[in-house]
Amino acid sequence: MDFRFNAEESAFRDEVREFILAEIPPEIRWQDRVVYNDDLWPSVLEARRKLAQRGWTTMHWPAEHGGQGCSPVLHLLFREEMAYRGVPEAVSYDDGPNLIGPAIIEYGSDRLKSAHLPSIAAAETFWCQGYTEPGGGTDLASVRTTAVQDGDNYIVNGQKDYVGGGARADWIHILARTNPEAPRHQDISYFVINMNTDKISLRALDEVDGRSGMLNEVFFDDLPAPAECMVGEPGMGWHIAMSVLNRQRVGIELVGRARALLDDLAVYTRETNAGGKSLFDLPHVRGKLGEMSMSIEACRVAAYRVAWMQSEDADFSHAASMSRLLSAEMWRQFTGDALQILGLYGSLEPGSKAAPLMGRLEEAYISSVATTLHLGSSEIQRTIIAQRGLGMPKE
Amino acid sequence: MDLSFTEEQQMLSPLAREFLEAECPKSLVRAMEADETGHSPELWQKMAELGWLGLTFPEQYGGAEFSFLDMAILLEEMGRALLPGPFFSTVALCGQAILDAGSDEQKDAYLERIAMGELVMALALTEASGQYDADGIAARCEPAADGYAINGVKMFVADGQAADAFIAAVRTADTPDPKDGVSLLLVDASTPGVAVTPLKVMGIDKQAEVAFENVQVPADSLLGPLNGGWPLIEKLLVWGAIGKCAESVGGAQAAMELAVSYVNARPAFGRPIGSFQAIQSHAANMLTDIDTSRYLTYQAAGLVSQGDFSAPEISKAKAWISNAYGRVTTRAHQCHGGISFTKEMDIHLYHKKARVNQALFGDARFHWDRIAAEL
Repeated sequence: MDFRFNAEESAFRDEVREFILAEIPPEIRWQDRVVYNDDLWPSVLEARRKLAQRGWTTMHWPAEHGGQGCSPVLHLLFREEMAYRGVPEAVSYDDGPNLIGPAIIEYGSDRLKSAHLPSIAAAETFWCQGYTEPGGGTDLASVRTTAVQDGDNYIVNGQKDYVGGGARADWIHILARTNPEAPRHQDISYFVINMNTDKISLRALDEVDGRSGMLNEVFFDDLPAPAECMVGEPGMGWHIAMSVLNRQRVGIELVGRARALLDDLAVYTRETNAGGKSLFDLPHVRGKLGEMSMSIEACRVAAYRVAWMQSEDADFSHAASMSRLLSAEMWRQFTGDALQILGLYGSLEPGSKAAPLMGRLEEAYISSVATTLHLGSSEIQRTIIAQRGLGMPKE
Repeated sequence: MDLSFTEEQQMLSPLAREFLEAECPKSLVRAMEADETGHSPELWQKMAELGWLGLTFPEQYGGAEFSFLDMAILLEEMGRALLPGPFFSTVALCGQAILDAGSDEQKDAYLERIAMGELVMALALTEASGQYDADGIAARCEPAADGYAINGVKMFVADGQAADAFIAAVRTADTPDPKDGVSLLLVDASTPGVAVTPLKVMGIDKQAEVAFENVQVPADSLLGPLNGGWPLIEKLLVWGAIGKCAESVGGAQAAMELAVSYVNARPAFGRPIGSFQAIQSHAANMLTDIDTSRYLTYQAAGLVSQGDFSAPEISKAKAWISNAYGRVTTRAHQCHGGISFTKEMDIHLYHKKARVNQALFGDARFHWDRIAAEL
């Protein structure tokens, strides 16, 4: 039992850090919501290409699909370092190589593999995820989007909600009902759909942080999807979606971000005068900073434990939910406490005169409203933990 | 990173659990709760036979040469069983300290007797301030004929009433930095002038006031260098903190298991209350707290096994678990309802243990402060 990185892991982390500092355009670091930004998007694409050329986009894929077959721990380390250095997830952990790519590798046909894996690995395609629907929310299985077979096609009709990056995406991976006769979880199938069609329309949602365009509603209107766009067999959609969500729930990006913001906050409080001494030296501030560091560590340990379970081929579903729950709740608590330490300055947004730490903590705080909802609310994570982790009865 | 256990480590937990379930049932725990010393010599001998009392000692002292991580694994099971008695004080603290800092003569004199179950020891560290800082060590120690004379009062001495000998922290010099004038002494409990007064502590923990009135000890009683005792105290705080973490993880796990099996069986409103989301939410929070606590503990114990006593991960573990154990037992009470306020149930034993462990070897605030110092 040794949580320390070994020599190989430490050397790799150094390599990742050097790559970030040398190759990731500085203007996109700490721009988590870069996807909506037209001016910065070319720099994102450039960073994605560099990452692909380095082979890191698919470092965790098996060698036979062009990956490096590296361990889940090494991949998590990569993600943590990327997050710690402020690299946006659109570069370091986006849907193509991390969600739909692994799902295609595990469940997809050979045709689907050859159609998509090379372009994902080369960072040529940008993907978004269409799971949630209006009125569905946390009840993911209440999918109402339909895909009705018609010859060689499935005709898709319906609406997806809260689709992150929908306006940028070349492809969307979705859940749709293919057999209304089957029980609730068994008639859902999984599709990959080309967004470049006039049968899909988008509506941007205005978010509470004052931005618009990052999240979209996506409408399918009699869209013919070729049958080979189905991932796995008809009715396997729920099963595939759960495996995708499990992968997604490991909360390492929040850990990396929080570690970096805490570093910044420690420097800021040491340099800020509070009645004759530094803000840092006020006992309640110092104690709070220690508590923050503790909570981040707890999340970090939980995340690496999931990676370890993945490498051992153990069932990590409820452990992934614990990682997500801890990290999302930590993020909310951490950003809220950080704003309190900053006092009146804490409410200043990025771009405002006098905003401390470029307003990053304010931005992080507002984002935390979504964090405990996205990827399954904290309440749904607890239900998964109780029922899968402890075998407690369903209602 | 390697989060696997060795084969030996994998065997240790089930063996310990089996032994403790047979030899340390709740009836014994409750009997020891009412007992003044809380020490069962029969159980102690059986633990000696298993090799537990010399777990980390070298073979030459009758030890099993296990690591401190192994010790944490064993303490987790002891916490689960609510093992009463002076194992923690004798083996995890005093034995470790003598092994670490003792002279060859001191190791010869103490370690084998500990391993054989012939010697119970206690750490007399804290005093009236109740703080784990060097300022708090005020008991005076002056040179005297052939050795030293001690005057002062130690407080909250765990297992003081069962101890045959103490490791006592004393002030041997007044220095600008109070850490530079602290020494550690081995003191036989039967030495004239030693007076032990039991404190009444909640639950199964036993603590005492240990007063030294002109207690004369020989020169070779000094454990480690004169005025150089503080670094060993820092190590003792680390062993103690991680040891309490491990104990707490096992106790919290047991409390959660009691709660979950209770709510799955108890019907109300026409169904098991374990099917209610409010109850499942308690259970999920318990499991999340416990799993996190467990791996924070293993991380910290692993670091100490590698000789790293200063990593902030140690304080992160103790700060987290100081509060997590209490969170778990509070939820376990809620799951049980009113019956958990009676002695029909065992939850109160874990609850009290959680509260006592919270403060031992530094509470969350103490450790948050240490973590912040490294930021």
